[in-house]
Amino acid sequence: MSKTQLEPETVEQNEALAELVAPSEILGRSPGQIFWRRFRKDKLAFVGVFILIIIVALALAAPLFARLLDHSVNSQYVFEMTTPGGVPLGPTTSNEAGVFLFGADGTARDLFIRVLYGAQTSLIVALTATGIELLLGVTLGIMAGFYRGKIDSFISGLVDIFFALPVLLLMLGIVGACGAQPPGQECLGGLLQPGRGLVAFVIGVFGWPYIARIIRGQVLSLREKEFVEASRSLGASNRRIMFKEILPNVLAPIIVYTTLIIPTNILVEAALSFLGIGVPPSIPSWGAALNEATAYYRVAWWMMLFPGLFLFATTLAFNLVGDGLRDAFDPKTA
Amino acid sequence: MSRKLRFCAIVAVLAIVAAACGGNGSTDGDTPGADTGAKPVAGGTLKTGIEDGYDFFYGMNPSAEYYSVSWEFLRCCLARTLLSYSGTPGTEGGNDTLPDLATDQPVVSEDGLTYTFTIKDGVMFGDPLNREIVAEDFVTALNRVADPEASSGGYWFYYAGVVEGFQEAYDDPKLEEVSGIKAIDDKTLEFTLEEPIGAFPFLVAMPAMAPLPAELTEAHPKDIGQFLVSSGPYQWEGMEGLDITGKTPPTGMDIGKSYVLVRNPAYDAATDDLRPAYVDRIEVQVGGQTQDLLDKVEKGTIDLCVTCGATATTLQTYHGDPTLEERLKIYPSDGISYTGLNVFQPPMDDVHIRKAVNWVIDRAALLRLIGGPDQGEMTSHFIPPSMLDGLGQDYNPYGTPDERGDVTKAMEEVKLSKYDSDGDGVCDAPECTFDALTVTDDVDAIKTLETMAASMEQVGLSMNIKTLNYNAVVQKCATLAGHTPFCQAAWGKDFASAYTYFDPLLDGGENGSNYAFLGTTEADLQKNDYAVPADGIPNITSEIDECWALPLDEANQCWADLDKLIMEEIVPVVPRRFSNNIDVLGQNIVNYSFDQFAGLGALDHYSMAAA
Repeated sequence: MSKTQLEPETVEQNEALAELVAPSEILGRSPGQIFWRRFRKDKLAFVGVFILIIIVALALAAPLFARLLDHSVNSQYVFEMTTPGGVPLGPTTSNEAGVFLFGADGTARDLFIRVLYGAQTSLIVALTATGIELLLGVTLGIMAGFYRGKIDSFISGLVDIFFALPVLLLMLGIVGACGAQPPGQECLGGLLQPGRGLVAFVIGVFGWPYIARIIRGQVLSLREKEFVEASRSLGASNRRIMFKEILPNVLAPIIVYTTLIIPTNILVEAALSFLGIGVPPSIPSWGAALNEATAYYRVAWWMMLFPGLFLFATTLAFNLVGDGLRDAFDPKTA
Repeated sequence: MSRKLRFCAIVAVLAIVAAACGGNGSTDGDTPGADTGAKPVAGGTLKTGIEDGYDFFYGMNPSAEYYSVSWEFLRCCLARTLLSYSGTPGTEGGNDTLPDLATDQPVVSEDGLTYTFTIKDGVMFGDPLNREIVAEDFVTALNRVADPEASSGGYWFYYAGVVEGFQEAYDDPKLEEVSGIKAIDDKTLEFTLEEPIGAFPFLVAMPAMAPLPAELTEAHPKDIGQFLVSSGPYQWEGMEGLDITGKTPPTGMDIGKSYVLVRNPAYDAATDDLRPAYVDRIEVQVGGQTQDLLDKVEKGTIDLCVTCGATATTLQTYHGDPTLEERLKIYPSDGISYTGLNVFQPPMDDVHIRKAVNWVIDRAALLRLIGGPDQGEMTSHFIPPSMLDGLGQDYNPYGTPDERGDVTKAMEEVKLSKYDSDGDGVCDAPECTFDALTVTDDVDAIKTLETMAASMEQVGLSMNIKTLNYNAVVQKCATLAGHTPFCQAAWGKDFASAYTYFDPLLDGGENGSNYAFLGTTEADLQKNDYAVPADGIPNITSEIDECWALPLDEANQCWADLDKLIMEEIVPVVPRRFSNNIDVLGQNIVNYSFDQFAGLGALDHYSMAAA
């Protein structure tokens, strides 16, 4: 039998049909409501949020776990947790030195505690670097798009130069050079001390051009909109227009991009630490743990598995959330 | 003058090794590679690997290479000397100098100042020269060592003050010849010394004293290694017909990437009692990380990693399998792993802090973490007893129960220091937090520092561990301007005398490997913003000179006494381990011998299973 009239089969279709046939009943929704209606339908994004909550909670609880297990982050258990030949022992709940949920690392420390503190390192470095990138990228991007002309040319040229730089090599050089200066001779007059801050600074300084280019493109369009004209006609200053009128309208791409560069920055920190020039050895890092694991992977699988798993889960979670946000803000990509 | 190359070589070697004499290495000379029952046979190819950055440091320039790996390639294969070594363990005479290009031991004058050597007939330079080696070629070699440009980074200092006129030639660019060496005729060579030195035969056996043809040194004053005309059983592949005045090196010499040695057709085995030279060809591929290369050895992709030693992973794998275990070759290498303390940089400028560090560190944990007894023997003094004819075997100035460290004794020392304001035995001044440097990719060195840091925290000494590339670490540790109080180091002898520890490592101020800067000058301290010690600058130059001048058999007690002096009064180092060399052999190797001179497997003694 052919269907000659609409037969809604789902609630959603029914609602949509209702909107079509009864335009007078359409409800006005704010952009936030629209975003939330879309985002909450993205189950993968919620999985990402869930994973992130767990990882952040574990990172924050690292000192608590260290106290509970009586294993500080740098405590060594050489004679309890290695073979006579120095190979670390795996996960155990019955060692004389206590419970080692993830086994020991190459220096006979509790890998579980190291991984939790490593989460702190990854998140602190990634978030700080992202903050630096946003500060520089958004500011310069808005200025380039808003002012156009020589300022745009200058900033865009700067972006092109940064894109052309061998960023990884420069990072290696700067972190290496600034990471071992004697007291009183540190980089930038002591402002850059070896550690998380230095790594975050270097990542951030080289990462801003990406977001600057995106924001510039958005602002080039927004600056021609009526609300900007209106603002200008009311005598608003350029700074006010840029940061009070335009900036709120580019928050969506900023938020989306932020969630996508955080995992990138986590990976960059891990890569730098893997190469041995990230955070100093005394600071736990997933990248450094993975580097150490390469010498033990045949006899100590746990050293590769657990830091790798946390690194994978964290970057995946941020990416899932980022994808969800992007889809929610921009239905064209859904 | 930098002597970092030797240091570096040793770092590479020691990073590998392990173990007191308790390993499974035989104390005989040649040993089977595996339990194949095969006898060494000539022929085949030895495929080897070298880790990234640990191949030859000066392009195999024999006047400058100061590195155990380079020395092994020169001794075994490319550069025979008047006297040389047999490529065997010390227990088999591997530290003894034996006639090589010389017909016999030298004739020494009654006053001990003149050494005369007679050169064998029929010893030839290889391709492309193919001419007989004559006395003038040794003169060329020593004159080149006295040329600061040609021997920069090398060990020229051993000849200064020993061979007459060497120091003058070194200091004066216009003076091109050392007066203390003369070619009496083609077959007779005479050395004149400034003072009798019992160890002089060791100096003659060093690779820098291998004969060099003037045709080569004139054409290649800097890149001589690439065109090195061999006097040994092997030569670079592609030397045949090569224009040694040209700029194109032979195909078998690609610096930093690969090296291929093939048989030298001009070499006459009848003139050589020291080198069996079994294999026809030695291939060296540079690149890769330690564990990767060791895995390749296990899989049979390569036969040997020259620089790798053995990781804890490899040791566990091989010890767990009887068929693999016999392929581990472990020998004491006359080397030491230690920490150099800059005795002018706070807080290490206080001898009580230096003693406290020696008391508090857990040497047993340090050894275990890098692989256990296979990697060497714990020590709290500086000179290996093998350099002292066994003296010092029981000397353990900072010995503690089970070698786990003694916090109480460490605190007693800290109390006596100027950095403990309240006398509670805990360092509490701002200087108690300080930097320690090590090489970025040296996992064992980082573990060692972290373990030392954990021990030192107990007495308030807090280390910021920083990692840099090798050259940067050496630059900062070897210069006063680096202001680095705590540097990881390793060293192996240059020849069988404690002099080769004291002179390079603890004398002469900024010399490239003296991380304690003993013997530096007041002017250098002031120039680099150090406080000049009120009780004088520590200096053991006169003591070293006194021991060096003694006949070899009388010198040992002198060196042993000096060992005690530095460990109990000056304390410029934190010794940890007398190191072993570990070679992990591939399944195709059927003969092995440890070369005590270089502290590595003797490349000329490897023999391959018949195809």
